[in-house]
Amino acid sequence: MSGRRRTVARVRSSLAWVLMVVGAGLVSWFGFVAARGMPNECGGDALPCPPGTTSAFTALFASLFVLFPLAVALGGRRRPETAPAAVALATAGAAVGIFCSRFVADPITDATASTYWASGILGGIALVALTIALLLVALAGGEGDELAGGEPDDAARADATDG
Amino acid sequence: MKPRGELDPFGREVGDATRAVAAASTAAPVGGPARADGARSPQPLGAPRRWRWLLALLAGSAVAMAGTMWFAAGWAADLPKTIAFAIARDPFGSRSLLERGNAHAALRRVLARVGPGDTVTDLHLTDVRVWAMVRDVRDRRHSVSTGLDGEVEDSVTIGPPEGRGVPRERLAGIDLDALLPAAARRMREVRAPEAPLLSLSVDRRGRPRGWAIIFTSDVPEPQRITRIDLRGRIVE
Repeated sequence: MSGRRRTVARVRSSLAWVLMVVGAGLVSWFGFVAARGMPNECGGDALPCPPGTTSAFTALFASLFVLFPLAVALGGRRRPETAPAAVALATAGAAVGIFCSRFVADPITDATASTYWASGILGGIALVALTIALLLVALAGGEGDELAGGEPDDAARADATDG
Repeated sequence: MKPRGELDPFGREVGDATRAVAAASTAAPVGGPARADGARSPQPLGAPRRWRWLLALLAGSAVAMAGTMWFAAGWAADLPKTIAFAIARDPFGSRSLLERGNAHAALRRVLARVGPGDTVTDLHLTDVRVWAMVRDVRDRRHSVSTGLDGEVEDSVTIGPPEGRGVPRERLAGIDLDALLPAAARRMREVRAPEAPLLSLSVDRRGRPRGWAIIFTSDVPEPQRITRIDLRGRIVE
C-alpha cells in the first residue's frame, strides 16, 4: 500500500475526529444559550435578541448541517460507528449545555422542571446512540486490523499492478 | 523439470502478475460490494483501531464541551439578566450594591466626583444604584450616580439646592457597616419583596444623623419607613 494513500486515510480519520469534537462543543454552546431564554420573536421590529442568540444558532446550524455530516462522510465508510457517535455527541452536547446553563452557571430563573426533562431526554438519546456506537465497535472483531490505516482494495490493486 | 503452472481457458500458462490480478478480482465480492470501476468499497477497520478512535473522540468531545461550558459560565455571569436575578434573589448579596464591599466602592466612586468645597445634600443607596445630590461652591446642584456597571454619571439638576449638605470629607468617613446589616434585618422583619432605598438623614448643621430605610408600597404603611442612627439602632 502506498504511503500517500495511507496518509490520505489518516487525514480523513483525523479530520472527522476534529470536526466531531468541534461540533460537540458548538452544540453545547447552543444548548447553554437556548436554556437561558429565547423569546418567540426578537430582532427587527421586535425586542432585541438576548446576547449570544446569533452565535448560538450559527453554532447549531454549522454543527448539525456541516460538521457532523462532513465527519460522517469522511469517516463513516471505515468506521460505521461514526454516525451513531455523531448523534450521541450532538444530543449529549445539547444536554450538557442545558444542564450547565441552569445548574452550573449563575441562574436566571428558579424554574427547573423543564430543564430536567430536556436534559434527561437528550441525555437518554445520547446514551442509546453511544451504546449503538460501542456495540458496532465491540462486534467488529480484529480481522481488519492489519489493513488499518489505508484502503485495502487500493492496496490489493496496487500490489497486483506492481507484480 | 520445470513444474507446470496453471493454465488459462486458452491453454496458456498463467504468470504471477496475472494470478495476482485474478486473485484481486475474485476476492472483491467477498470483502465488499463491487463498484462499477471494479474496485470494492473500503473494509471497516478492525476493532482495536476503532476502539482507540472512538475513545479518543469521546475524551476530546468531553474536553471540548467542558471548555465551552467553562467559557459560557463566565460569559453568562456578567449578563444583565443574570445580575438582575441574583439581586432579586438576594438584595444584599455579592452582586448587589448593598453588599458591604460594593457599597463602599460605589460610594467612593461617587465622592470622587464631588469637588473640594462641595457638599452632598442627599445620598441614596439602592441595590442597583448609588447617587448623591451635590451642591457646589457656586450653589449649583448636580447629581452624581453610579450603577452596577461602575460607570459614574454626572448631570446638572435644575432648581435651588435644598439644605446645607454634608462636606465630602465627612461623608468619606461614614460607616456603612452598621447600616447594611440593619437594613437587611429590617427587610426580613417586614418581609419586603424588594430591596429598600437607604437615604442619609442630615441635621441642620450639615452632620449625618442617621439613615431612613424606605420600602416600596408592597409593605404596610406603618413599616414602610424605618429610621436608624449611624450605629444601626432604630430611633423611632
